[in-house]
Amino acid sequence: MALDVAPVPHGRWHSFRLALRMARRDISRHRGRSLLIILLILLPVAGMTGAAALAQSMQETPAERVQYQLGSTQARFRSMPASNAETVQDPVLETATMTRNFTNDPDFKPRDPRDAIPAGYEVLTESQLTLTIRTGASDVSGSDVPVMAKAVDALNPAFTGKYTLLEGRPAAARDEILVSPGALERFGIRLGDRLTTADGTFAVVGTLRDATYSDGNPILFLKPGQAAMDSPAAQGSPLGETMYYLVGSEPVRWDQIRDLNRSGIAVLSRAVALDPPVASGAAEGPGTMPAAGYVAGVLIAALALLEVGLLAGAAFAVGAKRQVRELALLAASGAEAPTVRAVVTAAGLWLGTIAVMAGAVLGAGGAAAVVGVTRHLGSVRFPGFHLDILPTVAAMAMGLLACFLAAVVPARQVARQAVLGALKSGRAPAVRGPWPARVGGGLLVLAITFLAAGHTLGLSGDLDARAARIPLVAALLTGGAVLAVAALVLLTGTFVKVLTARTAWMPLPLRMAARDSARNRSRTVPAVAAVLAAATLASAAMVPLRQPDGGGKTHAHVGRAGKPGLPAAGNRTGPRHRNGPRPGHRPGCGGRGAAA
Amino acid sequence: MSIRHSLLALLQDQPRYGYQLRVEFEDRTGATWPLNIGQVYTTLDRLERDGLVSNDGGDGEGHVVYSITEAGRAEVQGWFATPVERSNPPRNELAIKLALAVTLPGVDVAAIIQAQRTASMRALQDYTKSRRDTAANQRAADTAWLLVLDSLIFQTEAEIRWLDLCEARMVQLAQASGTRSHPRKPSNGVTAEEAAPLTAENRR
Amino acid sequence: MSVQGPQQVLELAKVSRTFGQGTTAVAALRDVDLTVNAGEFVAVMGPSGSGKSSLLALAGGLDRPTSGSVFVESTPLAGLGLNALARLRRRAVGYVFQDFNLVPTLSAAENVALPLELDGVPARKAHRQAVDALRQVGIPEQAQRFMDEMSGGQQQRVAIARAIVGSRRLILADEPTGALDSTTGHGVMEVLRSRADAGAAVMLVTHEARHAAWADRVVFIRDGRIVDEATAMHNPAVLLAPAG
Repeated sequence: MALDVAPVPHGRWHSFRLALRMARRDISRHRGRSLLIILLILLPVAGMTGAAALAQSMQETPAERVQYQLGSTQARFRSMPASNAETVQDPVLETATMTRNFTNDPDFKPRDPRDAIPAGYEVLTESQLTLTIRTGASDVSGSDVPVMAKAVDALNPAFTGKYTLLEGRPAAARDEILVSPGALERFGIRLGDRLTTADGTFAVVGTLRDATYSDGNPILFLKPGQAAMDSPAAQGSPLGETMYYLVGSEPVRWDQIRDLNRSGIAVLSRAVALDPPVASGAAEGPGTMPAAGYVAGVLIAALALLEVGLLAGAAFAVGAKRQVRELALLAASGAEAPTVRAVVTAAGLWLGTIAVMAGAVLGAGGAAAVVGVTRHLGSVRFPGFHLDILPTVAAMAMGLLACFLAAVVPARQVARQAVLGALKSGRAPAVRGPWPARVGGGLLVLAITFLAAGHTLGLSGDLDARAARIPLVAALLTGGAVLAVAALVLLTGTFVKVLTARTAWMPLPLRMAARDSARNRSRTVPAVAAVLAAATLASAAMVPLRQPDGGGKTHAHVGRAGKPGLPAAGNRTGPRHRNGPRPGHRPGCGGRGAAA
Repeated sequence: MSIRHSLLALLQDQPRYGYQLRVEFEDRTGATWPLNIGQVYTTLDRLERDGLVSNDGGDGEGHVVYSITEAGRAEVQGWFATPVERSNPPRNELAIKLALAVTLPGVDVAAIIQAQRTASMRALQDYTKSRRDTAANQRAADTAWLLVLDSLIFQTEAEIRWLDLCEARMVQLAQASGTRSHPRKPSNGVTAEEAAPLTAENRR
Repeated sequence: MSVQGPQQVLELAKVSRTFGQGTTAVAALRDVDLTVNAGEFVAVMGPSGSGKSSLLALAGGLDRPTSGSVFVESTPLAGLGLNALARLRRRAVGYVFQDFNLVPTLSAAENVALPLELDGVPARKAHRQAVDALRQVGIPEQAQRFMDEMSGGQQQRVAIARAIVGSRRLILADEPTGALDSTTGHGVMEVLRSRADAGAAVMLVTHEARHAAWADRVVFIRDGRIVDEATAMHNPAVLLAPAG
């Protein structure tokens, strides 16, 4: 009787279904281990998704900018810091300007924005000014304090989305004003209290939220004309600029804006910002990360992915020994190599899919919660929740890949050793050549070279040359750091061996632990390496955190927008800087309690 | 083996006459120890003399029926309660043969061992087959016979294991002496020295 | 299927297997000739390291001989690739191991159905055949149990059921009683014997004479060579005659 050893039709499908079933059973029967693997992959994916979403949420979208800056008005006119008629503004960030000609044209006369407003619009004004507050016993310093004030009809329906009344009531009488919650706290007053400024004494009747400033900033909101714009305090202030908001149904077009630009007027138009002209030749819009931030992001992402792989590897190594035996058994029962691989793949896919899905949901949900709570508390650090799709998908893909790769290792082990050997002893072969150590050593040398080269290039030459080299230096440093971690991971096995070699002098428990680590290096190494990578990742994450906080940055550009001609944010002396947003320094309960 | 006690034990069941006792004994022990009828009558006479059985007279068909006395019952109980005494080193022909073979030059001990092992194995196979066939009938009366077969099986197995041990000892001996002057040729044609590395490595 | 003469299910012809090379080479098997016919139960006995397990691995296509040829159901294994060998194992060869080697995540019936399902038999049909095989080894009621809910003897019966399920006729058992007590071991031997009586070719590797004695033929192997063979006489009366 001749034996038929031909492959079965659709055998692949059959065995893959069987593999899925086995993998599912395996997961449900070893809940603890499966949960561990899921968590180890879920956490980095969630972290990366969340971090990416938060980073993205710090970037204002045009729609958000339009809402926060314009409310429901059509456009805003303001003067533009231009020295000739060739300066062009950005369609979205109107205070960002670009010019091909830097010469100062003596004949250039910028027009007053008020005169340039086309007919057919109702006009609302918003002026910024500085009031001086004579603080009494409530203030420690007990001196004159300059405070930012806005003269604006804040509660006009056209400013819906820009200004929100939080507590109290709209100011009605001439001596009534609204303030930001931060002002209540800063000056130790409650709703109904009176606030004495150099321009008069006002009763505080309500708190107002300005969508472009965090609640913590002390700001006074006056009606236009309520404070003398020509008072000595307002006169000399660079903040005395007035912006004109156009209320009407007709949108302001880009060609109109280009015309106005030639007259030294910058315009933020709802229609243009939401549908920016293509190739406007203007400055880069918001959302473009600066080079340094980009490098840090890449570095963190690379290390995080390494971390994902290592943690998943460690988790799978826990069950690998048992699985080697199971797979060998499958092979002895007549499973072809693809079937064995399918079982392993299925386990990796099940766990990986669950883990990356849950991770992405958790990360995005967490970020959304953070954004929501922060916004609710009155901070403008996050203009809105934006899910960053690319890093999220990348994190999910890498998590899945890491899970898959970590699961494939036992299958390779089965393939390499005799099936019978695996069945009889059930032990994974501990054959580990000198290669990891050699490659690790080589990588370490390479990493040091990269880092040294990056360091030297980054610090040599004049400023322009350095600026030109930023991408190269960044790449060298990032690559060096990632290579260094990879090298250390590869060398971990050797470290463990060396550290656990001389243990005869140790007390028995330590000796046993050391021997155990040395004998089960496939389990020890990923765990140690994961800790190593986590430490590196944490250090890398510290770098961007040490930069001025994101909220400050947001204010800086908005603030700058308000006062053309100022050299740099750092030179500004304003109330905001002294009393800038501090974590935990939120509108006090006292103020709210009084209003209630 | 004690015929005296065996007959007493059978009489404890019920009074019987000589021929009945013989048939009953052979039935229950699976005809492993055939009894001679003369032996039965002689033993019964002695038991009567010692007051362990009483002669109940004829059954009308010419058979003399015996029944057990109180003293007889006590004797049977004592017999069952006492472990069988182990006779001092049983005179085992196989042991003597091997002992001599090891000490004499020019004798292929391995061949002797293998030949014996094959023979024992064959016996073991047959006992096993016999046991299997008997057990397949599932007759209650076979219980005693199965016990006897089990005993034979275990004895034969023990013999084979003992042979394995003898063989292992010889390999060790050959290794220890390490002399190539008397290379012993086992049945498979491989000298003990040649086989040693493999054996030593794998024998744990 | 030929009618004349016994059918050779397994044939090893001049098979040698050497591990290692040069001076460190160890010959596990040397020129072994062995056939197992349908309905025949062959036991291979020998001390540890004598090559018994190597013989079994070669017969099941888990290993390849250094020289010589192995035929299963008249098919030479030498010409088969790894995946074809895997298919051969699940279609023609049943393995029984000392420590059962059942997949813990599958129930008894699923374990038995494994070779069938690997071969593309629909799950329902495979399950029916599996329960059938479990009935043949005497434990149909254990079909839905998992390994950790069964005794060693029951697990080994499941393993045997897995080895016989489908149309396979060659059972290779490697110390199947090694992890069992003697009564349970006896039960396993009964099952193997009954499989052979039902027409399977059984090759058992053991070092226990009591279990080898269940075979029709006992092959003694030593240092990689077959040194002797014992065939039952089937004449117990001779042995029972009073000695001397």
